Amino acid sequence: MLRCTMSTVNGCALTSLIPNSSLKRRPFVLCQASSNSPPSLIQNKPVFAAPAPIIHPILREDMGKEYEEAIAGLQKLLSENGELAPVAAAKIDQIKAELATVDKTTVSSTVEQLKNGFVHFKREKYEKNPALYGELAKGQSPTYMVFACSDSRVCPSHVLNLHPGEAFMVRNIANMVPAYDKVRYSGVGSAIEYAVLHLKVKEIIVIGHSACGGIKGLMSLSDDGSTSTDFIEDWVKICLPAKAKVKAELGNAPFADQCGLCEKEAVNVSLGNLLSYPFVREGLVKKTLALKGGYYDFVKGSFELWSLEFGLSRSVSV
Amino acid sequence: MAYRSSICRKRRLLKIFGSQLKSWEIEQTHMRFLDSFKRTPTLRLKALRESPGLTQEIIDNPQKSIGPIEKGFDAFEEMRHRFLSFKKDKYLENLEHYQTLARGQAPKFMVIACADSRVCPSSILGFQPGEAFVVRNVANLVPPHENGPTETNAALEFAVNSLEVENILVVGHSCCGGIHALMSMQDEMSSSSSFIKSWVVVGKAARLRTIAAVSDLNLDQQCRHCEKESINRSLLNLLTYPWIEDRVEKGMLSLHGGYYDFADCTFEKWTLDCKGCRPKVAGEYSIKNREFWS
Repeated sequence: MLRCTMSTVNGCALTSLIPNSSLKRRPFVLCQASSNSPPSLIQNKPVFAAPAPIIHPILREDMGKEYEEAIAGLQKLLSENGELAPVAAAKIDQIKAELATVDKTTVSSTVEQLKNGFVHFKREKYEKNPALYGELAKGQSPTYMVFACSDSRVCPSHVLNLHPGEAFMVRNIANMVPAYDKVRYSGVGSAIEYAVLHLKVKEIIVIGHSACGGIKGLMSLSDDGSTSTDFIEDWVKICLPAKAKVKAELGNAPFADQCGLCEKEAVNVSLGNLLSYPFVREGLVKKTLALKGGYYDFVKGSFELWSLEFGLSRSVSV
Repeated sequence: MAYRSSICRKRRLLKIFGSQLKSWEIEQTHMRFLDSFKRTPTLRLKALRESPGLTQEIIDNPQKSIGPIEKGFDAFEEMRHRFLSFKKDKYLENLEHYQTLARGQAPKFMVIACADSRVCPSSILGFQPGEAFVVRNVANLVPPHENGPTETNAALEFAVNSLEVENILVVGHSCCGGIHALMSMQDEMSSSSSFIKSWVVVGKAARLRTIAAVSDLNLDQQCRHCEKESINRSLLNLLTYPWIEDRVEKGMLSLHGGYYDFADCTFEKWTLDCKGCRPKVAGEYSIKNREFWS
């Protein structure tokens, strides 16, 4: 089954008709291709004029609103290009018929999505790797501990192709690691303690990313300390040192550039905070543990990786 | 006792652009704490910082290079291969979708899952980029509102109030180390030097109900029971947040629980029935739409 988005298949004609505001929630279409390779986009021609249907879109239940807009767009196109009338009209009727049969209950669509996802995992991964999953059922011994942002676009399992069992993963707003504090930050502390002392991971990687809402919130914190949220601002204050550095170096730069630098500097603040945990320091000194920082830029499609090195020399009596 | 500690920060900037390696740059920043013991009777430390910028280019001094370059290089190579295969197989194949996502995210789900390496929601439930805002912590616990600020409720506030997700799914799993630590605690109220105990005590209500319900079973069986009970306690804790309770009552937000058993790869899911119960009264609740996938 070829999984593709509306936009890359027959969305080209539609996106030119639909106003930008409705692109905020793009319909997610599960497609079945008649051939193994993805169809190429037909340039300068409305897709509905293709000789034979290449893709048979299966609509999801929650796309009613977007498709009503699509139908309106198609009808507008019809009024402007009379020769397309028969083909476009047929497509409008087809979409209307499919919409009418779709169950519009939101809950059933979400359940369906989860079930499909789980069944796909079980068939394609679990049942095809019985030895691996048999071992994993007994216990885990991941090599990495990863701190990543909760942002829906940056899951390290996708970006770094991490398989089950490889990375103990903590995800929070702006992938921040606070300094040692058993009262305020026991959540993060417990994860680091478990990973380093019990699972004995070899690497801790803190991964930041572009267009981070949490970092934007940090850079937008008011200087007088007033807050407008219950918890978010209290959390992102962890990386205030990064904001101070950015303001000092790029105080006159555009806000977007400041945020870009802060996203990377915040990773370094988090790496520094990791050093405040005694068991992390001990692992670094004994060289059983390494620390790395990373930055995923999904605008450019790039990934940067760097390491933090720490050591204590032997003491000398004076 | 005098000591000299040096923190060397060596950064190797590896930019991956397309399929070609653009440039390698080695930067160094030195921080040295100097001991001025000889000058004064009390120990004083003086921090000397050369090259203050983390992102400035510094002239490479190969004599000061320290560190296991060979070991670091292997890890870099590994990550590089993994990212490039993601970029080739997924990012470039769906470039327009990723460019749309780059402008903004609108996930319908918020998922709270355990940090366990075996239960990434992207893997077991097939969430694609843009679909789920994910928080992962030890034992997928949600502390109640009265506990004050934590990373979990900061993420909740963002997901519910800013992203306006329609579903929150708390996913637990079998053989959870955090739940095992919770059930194994001798005295949950005593202070402990352990972070783990300080955190998992958030789930103490689940522990109490488990002991009350199945105290005759062995520890492993009690843990299985507690893993599921803890999910429901977390769902009830979600309702202690006024902005969550408000949306649930208006039908704008649904709360779901999920349990992944990797002994035989099964997934159980259910939804908290918020209309027919009074969770704030004696912590009672009811569930609906229960399904079992195997």
